[in-house]
Amino acid sequence: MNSETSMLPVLIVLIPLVGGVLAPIIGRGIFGWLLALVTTGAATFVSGTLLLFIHAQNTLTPPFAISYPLGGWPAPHGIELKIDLLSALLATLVSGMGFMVTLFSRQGVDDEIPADRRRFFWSLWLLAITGLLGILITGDAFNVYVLLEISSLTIYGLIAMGRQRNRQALTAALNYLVLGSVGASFILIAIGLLYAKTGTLNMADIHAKLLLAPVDATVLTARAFLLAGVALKMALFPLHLWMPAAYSTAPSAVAALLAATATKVGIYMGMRFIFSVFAMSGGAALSEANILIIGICCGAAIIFGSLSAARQPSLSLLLAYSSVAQIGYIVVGMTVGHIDAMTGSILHMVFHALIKGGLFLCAGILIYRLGTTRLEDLAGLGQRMPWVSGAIVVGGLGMIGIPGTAGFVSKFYLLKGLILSGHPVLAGLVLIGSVLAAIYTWRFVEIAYLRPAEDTPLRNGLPFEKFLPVLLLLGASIYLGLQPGAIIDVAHDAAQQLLGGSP
Amino acid sequence: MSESVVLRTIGGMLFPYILVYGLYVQMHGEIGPGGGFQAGVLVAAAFILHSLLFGKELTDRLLPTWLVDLSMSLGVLLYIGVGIVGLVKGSYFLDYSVLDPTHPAHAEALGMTLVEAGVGLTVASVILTMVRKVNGEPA
Repeated sequence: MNSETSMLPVLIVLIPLVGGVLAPIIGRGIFGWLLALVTTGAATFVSGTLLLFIHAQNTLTPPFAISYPLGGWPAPHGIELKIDLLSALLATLVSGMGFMVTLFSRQGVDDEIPADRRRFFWSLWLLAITGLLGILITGDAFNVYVLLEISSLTIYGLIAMGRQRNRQALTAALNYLVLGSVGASFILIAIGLLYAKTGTLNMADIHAKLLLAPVDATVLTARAFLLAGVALKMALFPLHLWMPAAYSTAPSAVAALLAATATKVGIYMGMRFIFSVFAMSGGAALSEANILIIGICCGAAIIFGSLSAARQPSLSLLLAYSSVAQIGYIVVGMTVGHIDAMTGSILHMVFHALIKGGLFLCAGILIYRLGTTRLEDLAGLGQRMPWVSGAIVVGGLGMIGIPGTAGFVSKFYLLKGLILSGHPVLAGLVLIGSVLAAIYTWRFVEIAYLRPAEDTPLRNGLPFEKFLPVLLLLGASIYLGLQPGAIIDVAHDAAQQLLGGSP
Repeated sequence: MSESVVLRTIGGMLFPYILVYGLYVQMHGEIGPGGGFQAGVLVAAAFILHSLLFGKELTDRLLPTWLVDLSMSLGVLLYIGVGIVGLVKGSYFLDYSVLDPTHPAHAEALGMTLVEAGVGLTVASVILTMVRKVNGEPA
């Protein structure tokens, strides 16, 4: 690795961290937004550069990962940043989504957050992104927990800031705080048990020591705690209860950021721990019994999430419950441990972030212009806001997985992997989920296009800077649906690295 | 705010000693038990005692709110700054040894002292802010 790239890993977290700390000092007025824009943009650039670099190196000499010893203390004694293809891909996704949503949210934040709190909003915003990025690139198990707390605590605060628009944001934030803390404690207990068992906190080192020791009750307990904690963080059914309320009451920018990134990082933690830490030598990472339990949860998530989405009163809640279902797809793909299913799972993480991020931004535009996302009030939206409702329909098609959209590509790989690994029932559930997605998308189409328009006045015009991120995100999902070669390549290599068991 | 002469006299006498003890814990943290977290709490406790005894207005004159707000960020920036020196000098983030290349032990002592000072500053101001918020003052 040459000297230019050698300090890039730490910059991924350092840039948004410095921005987050500076925001309370210089973040008054427009400067908070500019600061957030510049720092998330720089973080995107850095992680994108690393992604290209690692992908190029990985094709030459697989498996390739960058290790960065913080403070010059070598692993396993020091804290190590470790970036492989999956980390770099998701770091690019998270920082890129952070940039897009920041670009979107200048007026939205002016609208929804009182003036004297905006600098603290931007501070929390950037610190949340710092925490999420940190989880993706660290190679130290305890570091994961610390960064998880950083991102969770800031996210609770960000959700509570929605109280200006909707008082229920406070209840939602409190619920998430209680449940999230339980989840984080479970993860901490798991890390503690692993430390007791192996005497080390470095993920690669834990893995190496676990391979030598026989599997005993300590390891199994640790894994159980970890899976439960991570399932709470990624909002896997039936531990999703915090999510719909949080997403629908948070400030619109926060909802988009959370939907696109926070749950994905939870899933990343699950993947990382299951395949890079707990994976047994020469065998599957999870037993058939594990797959059965997680598969039932995922199936229930897909069916229940989609059915609930179809009868929600508002677009925000509809999108939130649809996220419950989409989490089911992603987790079911990673559980079976087949290369194609894992590829599909990683692809679906990326595509779902793009699509759902774009859709939540559309909901944000509706809040900005109509002041509500209640479906009843959206009658005739197709005539009143042709661009926005068109974008929502495009996103909905992506969620169904119509050929030509990104959702098709990821679901194709998911199905292929599930069938090849001998889980036709799970594959069937994915198909049923797609049909159900068509139902809730149709519900929006019916209201927006087939009902007469209401004549409540629009409060604002459609600002270009708000629609630009929507256009870019949904455009990217269409582009990647038509030209999926490069991203499939990256996801496939990342899946291979992950299943190879090297952290 | 307390009207009791005994409390106000004793509290007023203790105030500087608590601060000095906080400073001692801060400095001692580099070589033994103590450090920025504990020292920050002690310093914050001194000011909380002050505001309980003499009222918020007097404490605010002693330690203005803007200064507390500022030092929340400054502490972290000091910590990150020490780390960035390592990066700028071509080594790893938070590598203390670049601070004094001729004498690594001194460099480590200097780096740890600065980092702990940052921690102390941030912890003290965050605790003061939390107490202010719990007292129902707006942001």
